[in-house]
Amino acid sequence: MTNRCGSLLTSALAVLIILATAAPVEAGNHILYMHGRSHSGTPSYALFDHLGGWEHHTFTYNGSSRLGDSGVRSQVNGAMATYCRGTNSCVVACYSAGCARAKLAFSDLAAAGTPASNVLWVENIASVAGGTELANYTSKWYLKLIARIFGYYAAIDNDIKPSVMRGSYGYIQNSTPAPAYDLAGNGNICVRFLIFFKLCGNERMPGGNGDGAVPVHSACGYADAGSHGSCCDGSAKYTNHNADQCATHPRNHTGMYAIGTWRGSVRMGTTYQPTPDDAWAGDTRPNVDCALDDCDAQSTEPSLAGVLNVTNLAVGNVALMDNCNTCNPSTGCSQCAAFSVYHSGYAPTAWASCDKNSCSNYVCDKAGCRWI
Amino acid sequence: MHGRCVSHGNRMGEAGQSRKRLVQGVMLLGAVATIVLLALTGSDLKRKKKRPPPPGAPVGGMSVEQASGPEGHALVKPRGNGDPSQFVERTKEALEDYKRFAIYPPWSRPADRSQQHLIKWNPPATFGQAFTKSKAGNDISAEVTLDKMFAGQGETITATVRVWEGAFSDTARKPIEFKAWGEVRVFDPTVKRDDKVPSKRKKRGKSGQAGYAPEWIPVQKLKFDEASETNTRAATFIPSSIAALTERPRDVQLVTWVKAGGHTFPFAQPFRYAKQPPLVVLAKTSDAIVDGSLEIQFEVDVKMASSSLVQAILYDAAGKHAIAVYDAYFRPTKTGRQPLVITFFGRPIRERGINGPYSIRFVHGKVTVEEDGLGHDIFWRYDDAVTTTEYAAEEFSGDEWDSPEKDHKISLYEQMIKNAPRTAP
Repeated sequence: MTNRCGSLLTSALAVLIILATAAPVEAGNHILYMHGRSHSGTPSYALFDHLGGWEHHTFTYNGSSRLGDSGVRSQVNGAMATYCRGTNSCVVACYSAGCARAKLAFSDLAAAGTPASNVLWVENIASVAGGTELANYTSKWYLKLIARIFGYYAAIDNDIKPSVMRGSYGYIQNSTPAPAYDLAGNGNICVRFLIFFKLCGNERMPGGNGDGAVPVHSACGYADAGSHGSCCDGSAKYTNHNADQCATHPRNHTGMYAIGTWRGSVRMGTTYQPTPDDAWAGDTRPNVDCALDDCDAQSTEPSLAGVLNVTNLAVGNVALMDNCNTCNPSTGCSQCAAFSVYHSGYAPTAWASCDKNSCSNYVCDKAGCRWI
Repeated sequence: MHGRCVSHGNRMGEAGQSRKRLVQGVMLLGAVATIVLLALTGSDLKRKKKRPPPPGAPVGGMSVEQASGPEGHALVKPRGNGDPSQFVERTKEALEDYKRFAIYPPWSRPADRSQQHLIKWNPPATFGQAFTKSKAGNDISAEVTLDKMFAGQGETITATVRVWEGAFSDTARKPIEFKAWGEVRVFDPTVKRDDKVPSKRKKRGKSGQAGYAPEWIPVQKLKFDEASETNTRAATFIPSSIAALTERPRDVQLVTWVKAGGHTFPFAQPFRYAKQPPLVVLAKTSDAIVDGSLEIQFEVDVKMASSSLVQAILYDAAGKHAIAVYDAYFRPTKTGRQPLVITFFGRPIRERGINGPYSIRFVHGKVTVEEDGLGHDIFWRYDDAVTTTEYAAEEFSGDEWDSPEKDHKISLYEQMIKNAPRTAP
């Protein structure tokens, strides 16, 4: 026990030494961006617009690593201790599992006696801090549905079950030291089987309320894991949770990234507004239950009108494409929304273009540019 | 001859007409099939055609910020127009929201519905789903319950499994024969797992139990026995007595394998344990009203001189009405016996209007230790309910929380509002 205690003290001492010897940070206003599962950073076009006087800070941690990962905690805690204390003020923008990491960081800093006392507000974008049922359910041959939907295992899936986030990690739920503004989506994420069937994330959410990956009960900061159709139904929330707006947004989980950029920018005093979309609305293909039907023996085709995972852009980073609108032949397609793309050492280059009849995806990577 | 030729020609003409109709029929069928296929796959087929890149699409390392798409729409986040009044209004909103939160301090708040997880901090974990079908084509579902999230030194965890024929949401659960066995598994961060989900089962190599979750290493098998309730099985184990768990702090889960309807399926649930408590509460030593709030002093035996979360609930004497919570950190600098002071803020006590004596219940906490590149939370608990001396609720202060911390935070918002730009850049 003493040795374990010693290692914890050593880590804390290391953080202190790093902070003490680091170049002094001028007093200022900072925005910290905490990315989610499967991401390795926050792309430049997802940064909030502002009126000047703010510095952006992104992270490079592996978003799929365990919530308790010591390296990730050290990176996040160090940044918060630097930019959210002393003469600095900060806004925290977190997306998906990044919001769980933010809450854990608030708790860790409070434990260390160096609370993030200068956080002004938190932009909680599709937060999975309350857990997601997709991390509970598994298919007939043992694949977690969250991995099936997104096409990737992630170690953090072990931590984002509702029973874990509200049980073992329940102590972090009230750790937010400033108003948090919650954003939730009501779109869906589906993968297609054999053309005729689809598997959708919201089927497992209480009441079907979710953004295809994260249920509304988590995204809106509710203190229970039940069915909630909006962020303002009067049910109790964890402390400091406020609705950015009551109605959920017509976006799925990846589309919420653009919504978060918009709403965060509005809170910073700018008026950028993307167009809403839900590519799966009106899709009448029957759902498949992969716990009972043998989906695992069938190949899955991520719909190009839904989430598209573009892999291997660089060093195993994952690009998640936002939806394109379902196009109306008479009125055409509206603009495809912003993307969540991270491409290490390379300008973000995943793209979507709409013409009268379809939305398509155009990708550039080391192999060149092509339609997919 | 001519007639025969005519006749023959006629017969050939009829045959030719038939072949022509056959060919037309086949072409028509093919066209229908193509239309159906196009309709089902939508734009997928269109995408297979070669198309020029969209206008403004990046080539190679071109900056995406410079590009624009068809019809003049930017395909990247456009720069918005600035509205300083919007920024001021939103900052004022955050200030008001903070002031509303800061009526009570973060370390002690009313025991309302937002604090229930502090009261039920060690809840049972129940999870389940349908996982196969019976011969009759009905769903077979299972539900596994761990009776607690955390087991301390010498404490048990009991896992109960129930299986029935029917949907998971069915209230009438028809019992069905099944087998169950368990595995305590520990997380090994050195085991690398292929990130990508294979699209076909055969590509996963070993499937089923042998290939399940390779990063979770089995360290203890569990036998499930008949339980008291009809058609349930239960297994009880003591985590602190499992050698692999006591070598060092480990990340653990219980995997309950259920076999029914010819299919074997895993139900995995993490739990926490402690080989030894990092802090032991010995007794309450005093209670008093200090600065309008209720201060309780305990004597504790600190085993790990490390920051410990401390949470506790203030109840009425009978333990029926939760009044306030305490939620803060205790940072001992040395091991051994020493005082631990917790304070329940006065305002929730006065507002609730319940007179003392009060009882303090569900005192618990956790210390985090680093091992194998992970932070492990080691919980501790004090199960005794302690009673205070008598107080009247009105003896406590009804004032809002007031502290330098709060004043400083409010001044940050006010400075932000004051220094906000008056015109858009």
